[in-house]
Amino acid sequence: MVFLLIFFMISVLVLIVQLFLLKKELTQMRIQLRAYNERKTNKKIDVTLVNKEIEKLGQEINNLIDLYTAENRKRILFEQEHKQAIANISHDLRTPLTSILGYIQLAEEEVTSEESQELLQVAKERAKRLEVLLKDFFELSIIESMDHQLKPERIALKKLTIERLMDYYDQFQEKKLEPDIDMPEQELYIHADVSAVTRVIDNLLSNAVKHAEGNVSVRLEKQERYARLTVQNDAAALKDVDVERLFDRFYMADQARSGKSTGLGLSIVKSFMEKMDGNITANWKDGVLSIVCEWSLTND
Amino acid sequence: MSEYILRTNQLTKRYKQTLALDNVNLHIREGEIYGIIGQNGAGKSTLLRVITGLALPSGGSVELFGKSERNEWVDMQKRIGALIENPALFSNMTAIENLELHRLQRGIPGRECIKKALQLVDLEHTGNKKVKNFSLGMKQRLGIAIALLSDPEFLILDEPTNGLDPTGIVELRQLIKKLNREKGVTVLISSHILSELHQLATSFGIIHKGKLLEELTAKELDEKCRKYLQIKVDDPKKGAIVLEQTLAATDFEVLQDGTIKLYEYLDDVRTVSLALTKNGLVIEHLSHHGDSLENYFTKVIEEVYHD
Repeated sequence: MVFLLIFFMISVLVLIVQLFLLKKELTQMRIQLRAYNERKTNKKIDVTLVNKEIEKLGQEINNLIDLYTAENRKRILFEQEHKQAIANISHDLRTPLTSILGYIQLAEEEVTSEESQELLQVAKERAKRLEVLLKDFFELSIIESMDHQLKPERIALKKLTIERLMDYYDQFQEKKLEPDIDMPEQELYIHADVSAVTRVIDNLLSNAVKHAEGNVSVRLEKQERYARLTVQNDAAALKDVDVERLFDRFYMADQARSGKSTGLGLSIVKSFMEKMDGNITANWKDGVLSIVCEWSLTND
Repeated sequence: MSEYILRTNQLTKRYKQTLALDNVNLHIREGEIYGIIGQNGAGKSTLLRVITGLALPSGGSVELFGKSERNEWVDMQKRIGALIENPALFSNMTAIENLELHRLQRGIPGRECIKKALQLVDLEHTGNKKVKNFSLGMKQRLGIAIALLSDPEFLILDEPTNGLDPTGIVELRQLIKKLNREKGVTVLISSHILSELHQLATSFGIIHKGKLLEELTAKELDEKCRKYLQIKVDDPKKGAIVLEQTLAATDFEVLQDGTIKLYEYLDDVRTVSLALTKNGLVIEHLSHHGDSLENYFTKVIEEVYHD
């Protein structure tokens, strides 16, 4: 009777230990799966190989991970190839276009009849427009292709913003705009690529100059751990739906596509902000369009 | 996830008097095939040993998958598959038994992975042959199979072509490319044979006497190694026409800033310059660029050596 009891107790103990180990194993698997699902790792899961069923479960989970990886890679490769192709195309188009412009220039010197001169003038204007379009297109495709790597460094954002504003002074004057400028007392330092930040500010300013009908305001401020740059201009003609699509490539509120703009300026801004891990949003309220960019401030 | 798979900061390794690694700042991004080029004894293996935790650094730090804390770093090692110097093999066992041992040690569920790894390195038909009867190349391939067993995200291979025959080298190159493309595996591979890496890597690090002299992408290297005439004239549009009409050149590019790269007439700068001037262009700049791969490599090493 006593032996039976001891045997029974030991069996229970063994079962409890086994149950405990099984639970521990499951917890380990859950933790690993969770890390995978949260995209913290791409590592497949490993197990202690004590229990056959657990091992098989682990294997099936890993098969699922394989499946996911394969699909994901296909998509990424497709996107990369697509972007690379666009970058290559815009690169290849530039050299012949330069020749075309050169030939037009030569023809202008040769041709004497006024009528032909006019035709040449039109050809030249169109070619130049194509040049601008291609330049923006090329830039956007380069930013988005894998080759483009930013070189982050410490930037004094207030200083840079003021510098850019000075450069745009003439353009503001030309359109008789007087921008309302609001800068913080102290300098704001961010860690980013200088040419990218410069391009972002430039594109925002030129966008404001192009579309403003009277008021433009540029504000730089410190918001908790962010440096926030807000560029506002009045844009009565805009609609809500336009704002949503503002950052889309080739989207222009004025569908006539008559102006000098290419519709790529804000796409470039957005791509750059994404590459720099910054935030960008656009709001349209009471006929005023605000575009807000945020960069993390450096710690010191 | 961090953009960098591996980053070292001022990494230094000292063996008594000799400085095996001297303030190395290495950067490897996700999805790259990073080739470390250096002569024998330049510090390649030491660098890889420190990265994989086989040797401790004397100074500086290593950041793996964005983690540099010592305790996290050990966990991150599990995401790596590495083959450093000679693979650790049990010579009395077969290939399958060797892999099974590694599988158990690493807790990889399912024996399927063994078959897959052997297939990848073309060793699936070795059957009962013991490792001690393997050729050098077969042992090397088995070492690679061990590194691939856990389907690592980051593969580190130290001179993997050692002992491989020419077909084996080509197959290995194709395998690495395939893993990189289809599974997105980031690869770090070292070699002292420049041409071998050149056809494979997407980024390069040149190491010499423990110093990382330069890091550059394959594209940058190609650009530095493609010979061309760099021309800058006051009117690039007209310049392009002169090249096309007077010189009948077809292989040239006009860059964004108006600089012209001419890949022809390399030995005949006189003709080019004469043609441009005759057509009323002002030449602001005209020079040769580009080097052969070996020349470039030697130049980088010599430049530092002279300092």
